[in-house]
Amino acid sequence: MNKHLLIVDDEADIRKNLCSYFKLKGFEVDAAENGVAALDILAVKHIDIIISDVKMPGMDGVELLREVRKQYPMIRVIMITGYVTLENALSCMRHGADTCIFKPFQDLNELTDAVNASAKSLDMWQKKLRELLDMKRDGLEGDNGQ
Amino acid sequence: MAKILVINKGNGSESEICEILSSEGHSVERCKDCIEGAGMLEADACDIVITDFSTTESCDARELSKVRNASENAVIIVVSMEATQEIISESLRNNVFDYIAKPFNRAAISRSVANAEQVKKIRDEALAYKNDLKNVIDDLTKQLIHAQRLSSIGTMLMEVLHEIKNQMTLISIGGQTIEEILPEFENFLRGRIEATGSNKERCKFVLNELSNCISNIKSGINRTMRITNSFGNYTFRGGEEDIGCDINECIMQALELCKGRLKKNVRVLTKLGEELPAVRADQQLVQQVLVNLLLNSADAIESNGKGKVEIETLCGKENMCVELRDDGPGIPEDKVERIWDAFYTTKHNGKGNGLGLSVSKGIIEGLGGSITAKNSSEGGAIFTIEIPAKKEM
Repeated sequence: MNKHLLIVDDEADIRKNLCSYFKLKGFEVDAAENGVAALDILAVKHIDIIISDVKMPGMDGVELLREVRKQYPMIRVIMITGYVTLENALSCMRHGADTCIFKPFQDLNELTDAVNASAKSLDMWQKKLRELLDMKRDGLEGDNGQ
Repeated sequence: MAKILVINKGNGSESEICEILSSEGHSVERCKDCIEGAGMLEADACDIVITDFSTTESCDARELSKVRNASENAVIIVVSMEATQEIISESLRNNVFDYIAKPFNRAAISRSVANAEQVKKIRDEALAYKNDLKNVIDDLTKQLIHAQRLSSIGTMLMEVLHEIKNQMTLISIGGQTIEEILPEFENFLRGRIEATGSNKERCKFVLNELSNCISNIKSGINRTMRITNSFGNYTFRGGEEDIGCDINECIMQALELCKGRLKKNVRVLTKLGEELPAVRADQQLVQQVLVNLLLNSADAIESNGKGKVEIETLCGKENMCVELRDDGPGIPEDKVERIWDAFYTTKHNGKGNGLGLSVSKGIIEGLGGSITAKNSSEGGAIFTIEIPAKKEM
């Protein structure tokens, strides 16, 4: 099944262009202009991977990342930023982003590769969780098996 | 000897004073009243004015103030038969230096004029200092305003860079999206050629041109980003994370920043040591120093027409050394020490704000290093920076 992406960026044109690019790549795509709008979408839609800008008015990318880690631990988050500083990148890493890609995406494949890697890691988790769920259903899991 | 104006109605004492002063070698002029004296002073200033002063005669308080106004810097000595409170207070009000009572003797006149000469000398020196100081303050004020303007441009630049980066992002995504759909477009075009028998050569040309355009867009973006990243790093205030700094990388970024300024008439030769250890420094700060030195060399070379800059990095036992040599006119020998002073510049037409080297010295010394300048025996200037190497953790 195609992964569902949520693109979060306060620059409307960048949002639109990234949406087109990933639709072209075969992903389902939604978009939000800041962290708050993104959380509104997460509340009603299933999202697999978020691509979020770091610096945005309202709720910024790092706040969104922290909130997503708390509320939706299964969602993978990739940060994108034009403010290329060590502090920004470290802050994204410390709060559990999969990676941080710098604008202006001189090589968009880097972002595509990051999305594919996140999708793969998500698939792995989902596969393992499904296996555990099946085992539980069959009475084979952990304590039940003793 | 002093230039003295004697104002007196013309009784005997006037001639006596003139004789005494002339015999002592002073240049003496005379006139009959304060009005005439004021006119003479306005036309040609004097060091000392000796005037008769009386409440009943023509040179009264009002006229004395005319003399005062006509020559603010002259030292005034009053000679009077009256010693009334009015005479004394008017004298004080007009900043009179001395009061000689009539009848006077030769010694009193000589002594008073000698003292007045000393006072005049000190006043002139003070005035010269005041004027110098005023000029310095005027210069500093102009330079501060200029520096402040540059600083506000720096702040605006950060916003401009961000905006450029956003637009570059759009171009970048657009170009790469076209690249992505190019094979699809190619298949479509081939299908059309087969179906309609269109001009194959023309189609091949179109596809080729499309690829070229995309590759031009990409290289344009790369070049723009190298410039904006260099500026971004340059204007970024510096962080708290001490990750060490690659001196060769700093040099390459500084050269990138100064490329526009250097390419016209300066040949740049680099001899960068290999596998140099990192230095304990903030990359932006080191870059700032290198940019300052490169721009100085470019300016120096410009005055010669064209020339070259050589940059060499070496690693000593504990220090990393950067040597920057140019073949410009060098530093005037008597200015080698002064170039590090804040607001000192040898550049003309408002080109330099006189802060570059002073700030650079502050930065390098703040990093525990040193920066020195000397002239090369072959002509041109040599700047040497030494920064402590980062100790392995």
